[in-house]
Amino acid sequence: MRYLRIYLNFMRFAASRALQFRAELGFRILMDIAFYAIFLGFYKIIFSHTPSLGGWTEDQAMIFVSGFMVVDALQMTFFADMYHAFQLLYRQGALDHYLTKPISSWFFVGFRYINFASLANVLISGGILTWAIAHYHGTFHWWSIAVYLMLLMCCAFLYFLVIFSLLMCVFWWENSDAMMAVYFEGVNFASRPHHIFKGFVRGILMTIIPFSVYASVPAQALFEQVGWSSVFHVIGVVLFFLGINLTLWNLGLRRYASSLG
Amino acid sequence: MKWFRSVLAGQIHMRLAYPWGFWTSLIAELFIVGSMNWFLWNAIIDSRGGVGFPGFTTWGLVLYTMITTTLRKVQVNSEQFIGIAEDIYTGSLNKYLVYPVPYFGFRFAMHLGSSLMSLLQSGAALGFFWYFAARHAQPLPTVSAITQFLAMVMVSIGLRFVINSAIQATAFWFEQIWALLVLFSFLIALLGGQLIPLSLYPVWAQEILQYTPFPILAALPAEALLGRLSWLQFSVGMGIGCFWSLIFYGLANFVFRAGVRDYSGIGA
Repeated sequence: MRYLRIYLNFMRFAASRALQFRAELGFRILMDIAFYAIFLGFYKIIFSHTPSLGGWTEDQAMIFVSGFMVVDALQMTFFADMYHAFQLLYRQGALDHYLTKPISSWFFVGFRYINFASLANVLISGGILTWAIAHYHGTFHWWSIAVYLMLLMCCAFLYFLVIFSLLMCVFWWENSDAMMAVYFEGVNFASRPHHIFKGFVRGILMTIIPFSVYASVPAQALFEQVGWSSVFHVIGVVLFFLGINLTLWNLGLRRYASSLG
Repeated sequence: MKWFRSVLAGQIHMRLAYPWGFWTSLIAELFIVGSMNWFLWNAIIDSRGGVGFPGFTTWGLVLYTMITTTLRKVQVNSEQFIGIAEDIYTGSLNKYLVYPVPYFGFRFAMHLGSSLMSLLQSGAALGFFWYFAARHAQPLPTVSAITQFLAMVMVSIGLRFVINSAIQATAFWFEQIWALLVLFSFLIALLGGQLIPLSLYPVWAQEILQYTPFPILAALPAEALLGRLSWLQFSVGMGIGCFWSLIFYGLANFVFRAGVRDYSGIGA
C-alpha cells in the first residue's frame, strides 16, 4: 500500500507537469497518431496483396498490431521518460539522491517518471484495439479478452525491463546511447507476427531478445481463446527479465561511485 | 563562399575523427532491417503461393528497405536533428546573428558535411552487402542508376534540411518541438514509401503522393538505385523535389525572421 501511495503521488506530479505545456501535449498526440497510422497503413497495404501473413488473417493482424500500439502507449506513458533521465542521473551523480530514500531505489528510479501527456495515446490505441476486436470475424470469450489485456500490461512492463537492463550498461561502460539506438531499431521486430520468423532468429526473438513476446505472443493467446502455453511463455519471460533487472541493479550499484561530472 | 567550404570541411573532419558510433549503428540497423524484411517478404510471397511482385525480386525488396534506411541516416544526423531549436532555447543563436554569414547557410554547411560523410559510409556498407550477398539475385546498379540516385539524394538532403529548419524555427514560440520533427519522420515512413515500395500502394494513393514532397525523401532514390526509374520519371521527381525545396526554404526563412523579431536572446 505504501508503494501504491507513493506511485499515486508520482502520477499527480506528472499530471501537473504535463498541463503546463498544452501545445506540446497536442504535438505529442499528433505524433503518436501518425505512429499508429504507419502500422495500420502498413498492414492495410500488405493485406491488399496477400490473404494472410504468417498464418494470420487481416482481422487478426489488425488486433495484433493494435495490441502492439497499446503496449507502446503504456510504456511511453509509464516508463519512457525514465529512459532519458537515467543516464543523466548516473553521469551527474544525482542517483545519490535516490539511494538515500527509505524505499527501493530500483522502484523509485524506474517508476517515478510518468508522462501524463502520453495517457491520451493509451486511450487512442485502446480505441483502435476495441475497433479491431469488434471487427473480428469470430467471437472471443470475455475472459480471453481480459487475459489478453492483462498480458499486454505485462508486456509493457517487460518492455521497460528490457530497456532498463540495457540502460544499466552505464554502470560498466559509462554510456548506453549506441545500445539504445540499436534497441529502438530492433523493436520493429515486435510489430511483425512471430510466425513469419524462422529457426534461430525466431528462438532469439521469443526468449533473450523478446521482441516477439511484446505483442505477438499475447495475440496468439487471444486467438486460441486463452492459449495457456502463450500465457505462461509471457509470464516466464517477464519473470526472467525482472530477475536480470534486479540483479544488474544490485551489481551496478556496487560499482557506482557517485558523480562523474 | 569560402566560409561555406570551411564549415563543410570542418564538419567532415569532425565526422572522420569519430567514425565508430556511426558505423556501429549503421551496421546494426542494416542487419536488423535486412533480416526483418527478408523474413517479411518471404512470408508474404509464401502466402501468395510463391508469386512475387512484378519488377521486384525478394532481394530487391529487401535492398529497397535497406536503401531507404540508409537514406534516413544520410538526410538527418543526430547532432543536426534539433540543432536550430537548441540554439534558440539556449540563446546560442545570439552569436550566429552577429556572424557575417547567413544562419541557415552556416547550418546547411554543417548539415551537408555530415550528410556527405554518412552517404559515403552508408554507400560503402550497402555496396559491400549488395556485391557479396545479393548480387546473384539483384544485378548491381548501372552507372545511370547511380547517377540518378546521387542526384536525388542531393536534392533530398536539401529538402529535408529546409523542412526540418521550418519546423525547428517554431521553437521561438514552443517549448518542445521534437515531437513535430518525429511526426514528420513518421509521415515520410508512411507517405514516402520508406517501409514498402510506393508502387505497391493503391493506385489512387500513388497518384496523390507523387505530387507531395515525400517520395523524393525515400521511394524515388531507392527505386532509382534499383534501376526502376525511367529518365522521364527521374526528371518529374527531381522537378517536384526542387519545387518543394523552394517552398520550404521560403517558409523556413519567413518563420525564422518572424521569430527573430520577438527573440529576446536570453535563452533557457
